[in-house]
Amino acid sequence: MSIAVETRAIERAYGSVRALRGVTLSVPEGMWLGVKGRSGSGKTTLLNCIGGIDRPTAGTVACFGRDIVGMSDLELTRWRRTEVGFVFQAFALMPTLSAYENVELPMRIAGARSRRGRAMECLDLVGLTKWADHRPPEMSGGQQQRVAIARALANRPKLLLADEPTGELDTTTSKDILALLRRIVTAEGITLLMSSHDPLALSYVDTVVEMRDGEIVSGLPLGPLTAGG
Amino acid sequence: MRLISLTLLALRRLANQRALTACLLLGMTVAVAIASAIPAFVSSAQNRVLRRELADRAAGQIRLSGLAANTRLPLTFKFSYLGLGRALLSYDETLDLDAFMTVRIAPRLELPVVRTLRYASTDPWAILPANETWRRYPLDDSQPLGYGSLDFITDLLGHIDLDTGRLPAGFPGAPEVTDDGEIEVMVGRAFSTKTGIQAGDMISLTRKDTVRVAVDLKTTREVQREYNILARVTAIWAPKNRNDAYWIIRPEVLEQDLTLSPEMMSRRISKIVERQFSLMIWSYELDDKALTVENVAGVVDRANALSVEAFEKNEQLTLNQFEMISALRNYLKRSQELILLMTLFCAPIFAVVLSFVVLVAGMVVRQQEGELAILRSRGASPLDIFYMYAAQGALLALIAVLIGVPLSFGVASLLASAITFLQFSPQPEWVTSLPPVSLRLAVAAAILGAAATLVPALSAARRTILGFGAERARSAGRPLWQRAWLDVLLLIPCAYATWQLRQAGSLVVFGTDVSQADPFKDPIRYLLPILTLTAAGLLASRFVPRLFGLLAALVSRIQPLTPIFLALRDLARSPKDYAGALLLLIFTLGIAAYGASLARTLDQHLIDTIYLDNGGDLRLIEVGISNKPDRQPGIPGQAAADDTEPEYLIFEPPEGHLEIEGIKRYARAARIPVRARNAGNRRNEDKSMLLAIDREEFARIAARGLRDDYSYAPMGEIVNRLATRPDALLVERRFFAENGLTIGGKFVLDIGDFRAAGPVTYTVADAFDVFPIVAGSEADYETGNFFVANAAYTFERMGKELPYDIVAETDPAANVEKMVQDAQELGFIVINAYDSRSKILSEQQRPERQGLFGALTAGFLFMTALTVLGFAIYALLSFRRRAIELGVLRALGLSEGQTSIYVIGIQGALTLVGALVGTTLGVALSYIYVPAMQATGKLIAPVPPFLTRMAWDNVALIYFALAAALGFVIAASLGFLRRLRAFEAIKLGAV
Ligand SMILES: Nc1ncnc2c1ncn2[C@@H]1O[C@H](COP(=O)(O)OP(=O)(O)OP(=O)(O)O)[C@@H](O)[C@H]1O
Ligand SMILES: [Mg+2]
Repeated sequence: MSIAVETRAIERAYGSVRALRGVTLSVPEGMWLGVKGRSGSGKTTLLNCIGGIDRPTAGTVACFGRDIVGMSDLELTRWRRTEVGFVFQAFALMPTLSAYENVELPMRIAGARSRRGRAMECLDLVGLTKWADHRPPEMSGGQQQRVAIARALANRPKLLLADEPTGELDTTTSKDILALLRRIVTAEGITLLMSSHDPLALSYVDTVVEMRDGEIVSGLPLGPLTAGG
Repeated sequence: MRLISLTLLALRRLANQRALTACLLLGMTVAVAIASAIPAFVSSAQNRVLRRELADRAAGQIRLSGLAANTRLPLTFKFSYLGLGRALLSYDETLDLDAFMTVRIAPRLELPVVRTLRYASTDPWAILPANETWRRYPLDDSQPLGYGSLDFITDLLGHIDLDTGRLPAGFPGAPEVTDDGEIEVMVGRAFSTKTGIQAGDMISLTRKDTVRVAVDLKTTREVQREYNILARVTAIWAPKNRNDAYWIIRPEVLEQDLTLSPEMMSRRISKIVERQFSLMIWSYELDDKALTVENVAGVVDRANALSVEAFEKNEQLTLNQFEMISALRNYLKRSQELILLMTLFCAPIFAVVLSFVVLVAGMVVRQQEGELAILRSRGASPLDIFYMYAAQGALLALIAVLIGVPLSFGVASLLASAITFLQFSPQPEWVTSLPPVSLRLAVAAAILGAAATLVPALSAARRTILGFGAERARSAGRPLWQRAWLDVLLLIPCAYATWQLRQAGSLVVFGTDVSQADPFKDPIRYLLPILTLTAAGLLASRFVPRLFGLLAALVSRIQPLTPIFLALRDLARSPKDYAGALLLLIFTLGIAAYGASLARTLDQHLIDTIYLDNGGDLRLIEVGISNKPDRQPGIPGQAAADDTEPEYLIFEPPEGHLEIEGIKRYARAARIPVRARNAGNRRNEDKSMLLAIDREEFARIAARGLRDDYSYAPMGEIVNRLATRPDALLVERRFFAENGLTIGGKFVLDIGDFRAAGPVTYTVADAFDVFPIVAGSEADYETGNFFVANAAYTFERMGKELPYDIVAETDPAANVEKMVQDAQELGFIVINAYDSRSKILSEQQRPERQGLFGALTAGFLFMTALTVLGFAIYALLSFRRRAIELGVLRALGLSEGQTSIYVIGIQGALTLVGALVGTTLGVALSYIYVPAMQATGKLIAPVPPFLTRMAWDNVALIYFALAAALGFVIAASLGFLRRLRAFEAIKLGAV
């Protein structure tokens, strides 16, 4: 089983604050990795560096064998278009666009043709076909997060980064979302990195690593693990 | 307590949003400054209208009258007693009248009196040489040397020089008047020259009088009496300066009279004849500096009242200052028009300023929405929030007044310095005082501005707690006015009124039939364009999102245009977001395009009118010399009845005009009174006129005044029809139709020459509506018909030349006075000259015109500035709100360049569409309404009709200004967004 994400001693310092202090991590393809840790421990920073929307001050990040630290901003942008999907805690949907258009948006940006089929497929995957023409403000939080997941999947990324995806949802809705993510990871073979401090969310993941003060302190997956293990 | 804490909170919030607060303040300050500047400007312009009106009275026609150009005609109320026939006054009665004037009239003249002059004179006496002078007049002792009145006038000594002799008794420095001494008088130099009377001569004065004497208790009878006076002429005087305003009676007249001292009049003359005073004049020269815009109406009213009172005192006692009163009345009318025009032109500017305030206030409220929600959740009532905004508005209003009022001096000066649209005079007119109404209006504007800030606050106060998504979602909805179909509701009456306006040429408002020329009764006419623009702008902005949607659909499939597509789609989806900015843009462009065209049309119309009336650059009114000498030139009707030889005029050959430097070509154009013989059903034709021209040259010279809409075909062709045959005649189209004329038909005109009226037969060649010189802005179309024919043919048929004008094409650099002088030196008798160029210049400098253009210019500048500013604020704020969206787009894979294009696309598309819609509406408005604006009273001549001219260069200027501003706004927002790191992909955890 190949490695999806491999970080080597990455550090990220915000001035004097060292958010990451040498994180070395390797995540096999198809694994759902949970990152837990107290607030301020560096979870979000780690995901940002892996997703190419933040740059580590030191160390390397390779995704599916490609080094993303050395890429230019434009290269990184292009890479992001197809290789990675983001799920934000607060959904971050475009309020003026319908659910369908939100899902279609990354495909449009990536210049994909025949977007309609894929967008509907993604909406179907998250169970929102009927809501395709509704706009985010008309939807519940759970529905919005599902649209966000569909959007993240639209360009068939191999890597999904979700930062506390259930942070703003109640327990029942969280369970729905987590079950959905589980289904996606299993069915599409996607690698999912999710941060959370919610035990419920962490109970769905394959492996949990814990961070403290910018370092991984436990559950460090050192070698290839079998997905779903 | 609560109120105080709320007020403090309001202040803190203002301080927290410095940029927005500053913009809000700016909008309100501009509103205040405009509101306060308009009356200040109007009153300064009125003042200039007033001075000009008074000065025009003095200046008269062009410098040919011989009066020095700088002669100041004072503001004088002149009362006179003119004892016609028997109403001669006794000396006591003159005292009584004088007392009446001094007590009842003089103190009540409204303005300070700077000089009082009194004049009294007797009925004329026959003046004969007296015994000792006799030998110098041996020939005819029965013929008097002349007739002269005995008179005196106050302050005479300061204005005359004595040629010879000494002052008559009773004057300062002369002997006392005694009861038995000689009666002493002085005469003017002109009289002395005419008669040979010299200082020291004795003269005998004779006067016959019919007196009614009582025969018995019941009957009276008229008896003739003859009086004789012997008087000594002690001095010959001459006026120091004939043009001095002192001469309430022309010095030439006084010089013919016998002037004596008042004592001589009272102690000696009045004893001789009981009733002899026939003319008294009281002249009160008023301080015209004290005449202000405010008291003119009072002065006019008082003059009327005093004149009635004087008439009641004595029917012969009148205030004979028609000219001045009518100048003042004229002024009042003009100034009212000025106020009206200013109001009408400034109203839309004001509306734009207020909508700017609403727009910015809306943004402020939006910015504070989060805070508001928190306040509400902590238990602040809607009333509290409303109060907070009210406090905020009041504070801003106060500051706006404090800054805006001083600023209004500058604005008013700007208004006053505009010569024409967007052109300023090199010598600015500084406005240095504010009328009281300025302050009131300023406060009103500030209150209105504060109220405008409350509009969005009101709805915000009612709102509940809403998050980011919901807030953005709401902006996807339609603005209230669209949901209520207010635009359509407004457009219906506008369309109806417009239709009526175009049908009838005037509006019938509220069922009353209004006169076309009175703008006061027809305000809708002037507000209609603005109302229509408002309605049409609102309606158009309803479709703008659809237009964006359509454009988005068009570019949807073009991959490289993805950011543009996203921008267009966003615009299509969130109309409420930018409705305010868009409307501001549409209104500004619409009003600016319309205003600029109106200004251009007015400007061109002025030029057209003057060239139409003058025919060419210069028109000289010349007369011939009568073959009967010793008559006044040009008034041949004076020829004595017993003359047998018909009188005719001799003209210098007109070719001589070409010798005058500056005249490039000339044509004769004779205005000849005529009567149409075979025009049966015509009303009074007193003003009918034939213009006989030198066709070829005239067509060239008058090309400027021959607009192609003056007939059904280009005027050049119409005039050339005169070349087809010598007897060709052009007639008015109206006349042509009314009388069923045919081209080629014979037509007889009775040429109304004073002496040898004769029929001349012409052949109808073509027709016109308007023609230079005769059928122009001053033609009396009610009572006249106008014809044009060849001068050579007409003169030939008449057997002589008739007086003609010379129409000339001149060098723009040539001096008119010099040309007139040259013409006179060449032997032409020029009695008047009309120079089109200087007339245009002087008309352009009329204060009311300047006011109009000042208002248009200022409005244009303010609106452009505010629109650009409003747009900038809108752009910055909207992108700040969008910062998260931009970050998400970046995270989803939009590159930095693409994101910039997205930002530029939104602003560019909005500006472009807004500008295009606004300009289109403005152009449409110009073509629909500009022609209807001609009925603006005295300011604008009704003929020729307005020809709408688009001021494309000025519109282009607006586009340049907008483009420059847009460039700036875009650069600023890109910089701003970069600082916000909005161009960085949004990070997880940052939302
Ligand atoms: N942009 C930044 N500038 C400065 N310091 C930052 C920035 N982003 C994060 N940090 C700091 O880096 C550390 C790690 O932050 P991070 O957001 O990764 O924590 P986290 O584990 O995601 O916390 P939470 O569970 O609250 O989301 C914190 O101490 C934080 O203060
Ligand atoms: Mg975090």
